[in-house]
Amino acid sequence: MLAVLNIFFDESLGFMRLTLLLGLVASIPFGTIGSLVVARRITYLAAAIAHAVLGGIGFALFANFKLGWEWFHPTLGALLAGIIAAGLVGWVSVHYKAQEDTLIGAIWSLGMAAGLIFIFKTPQYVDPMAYLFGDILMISSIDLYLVAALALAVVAITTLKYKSIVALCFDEEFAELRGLNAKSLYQLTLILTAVTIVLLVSTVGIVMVISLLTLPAAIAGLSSKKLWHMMVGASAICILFNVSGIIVSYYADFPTGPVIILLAAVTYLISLVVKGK
Amino acid sequence: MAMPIEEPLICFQKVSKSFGNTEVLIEADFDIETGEPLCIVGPNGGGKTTLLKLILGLEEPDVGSIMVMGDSPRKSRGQIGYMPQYLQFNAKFPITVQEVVEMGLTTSKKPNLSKNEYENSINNALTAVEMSEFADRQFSTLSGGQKQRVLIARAIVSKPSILLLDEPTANLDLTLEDRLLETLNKFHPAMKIIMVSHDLGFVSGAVKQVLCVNRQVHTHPTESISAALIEELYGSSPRRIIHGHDLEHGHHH
Repeated sequence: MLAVLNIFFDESLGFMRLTLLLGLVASIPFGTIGSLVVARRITYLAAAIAHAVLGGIGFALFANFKLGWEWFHPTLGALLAGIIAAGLVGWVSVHYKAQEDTLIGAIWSLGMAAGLIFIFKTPQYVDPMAYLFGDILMISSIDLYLVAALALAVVAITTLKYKSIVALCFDEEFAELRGLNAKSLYQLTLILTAVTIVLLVSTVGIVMVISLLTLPAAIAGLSSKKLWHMMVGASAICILFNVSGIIVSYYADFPTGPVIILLAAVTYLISLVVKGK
Repeated sequence: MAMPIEEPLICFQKVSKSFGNTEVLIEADFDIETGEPLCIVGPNGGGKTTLLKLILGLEEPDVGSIMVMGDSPRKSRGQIGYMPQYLQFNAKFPITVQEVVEMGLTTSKKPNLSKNEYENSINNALTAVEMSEFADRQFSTLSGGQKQRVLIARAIVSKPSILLLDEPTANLDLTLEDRLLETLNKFHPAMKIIMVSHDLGFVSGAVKQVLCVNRQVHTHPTESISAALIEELYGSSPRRIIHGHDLEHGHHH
């Protein structure tokens, strides 16, 4: 507790304050959408979207330094690439079910390949590792405002569409029979997933963000009777992982992203053993 | 839209349906009238489930036309209750029995039921299948038979004009199986019940008319279902069909 207060009141720890606030704000959509991803069993699709985001980040950096588009923030690039990838992944999984695995894998690596080429061609040196594994020094106050606005939008849309989304996630065919537009709802779920992934890419990185999306939800799911119970539980657990991971990484001098993910993974394994599942 | 009295409830005209190179239905041409329950029988892969999905508008015919209650299947599906054969859901999905049944009242439009009517509908449907005391239980913790009862409740909760049940007795215990039609009729007498079943023992005692489906579709009164017809339809003897297993391979109930 003292460590958290120290981060909030020590003038020299501004970057930690930003990281902590970003983690707190993003945890709510992470718990909410992570629960949908786990309950609907679309982790593989979410992982493909997460990796394809590098294409947008790479293009945004290239556009910033080569084309002079200073307004095109890497988070906006990531958001754009995430939404395009979500659209493609949704389209493939609806229309090309038989080749779904191969095509999703192709989207996954195509986004990464494009991103790395853009980064390589960016005149100023950019370390791709910072985006792949997260670097809290990259976080700016613009990130925090963007993340807060997106988090609010994700949670508001999920709350408004809650009953329809539950019907879709549980039994898509029946949802369609009840007059719900199952394909559009599915696409909406993937877009919300893409937006959520973008929120914490800078903290935990593209490679590990999927674990932070799914592990808190999987832990909460072990003792949840309803989907919204799982969403609330997962959000609380995500806050816990983010806060403790940031503090531990600061005081132990470890990279933040891997510490958060290790905490989540160990807790998940312990929960599985305790629950006997 | 008001339906003319003389119009059949469901009308198939020369309907054919294939999946890839496999012809599942060939020129199905038949009417289903209102009234008595109807059973659809036939071998695995004979096209029974496809027939139901065509009625629901979940599949489109390659050739021919289908009318349900005087309209296209897609437009009429709001008046059809459906219980699928398999539910491909996540076994750990966090959802209660009450929420599953509630799904049967979900619509894209604003519901026209008051909160009280809404809750009563759910309670009544659960009571009809003797599952009211399980309303707050997590669906995934139920047995196969209990899950089937809940899915029947979800199909009937909106009091549909047509009820389609795909293998409703597959997991049911004998006590409810014997009273299934009586229970459903009592819940909503105006509902036309159409069931797919493998269980010829159940069929012979439950309905007066059967629709035999093995790529082609023929209607028969139940009493005309003879050993020869079953042999022709299934390509094997009635004894093996009724018990649902091959005695030669040593499986016994």
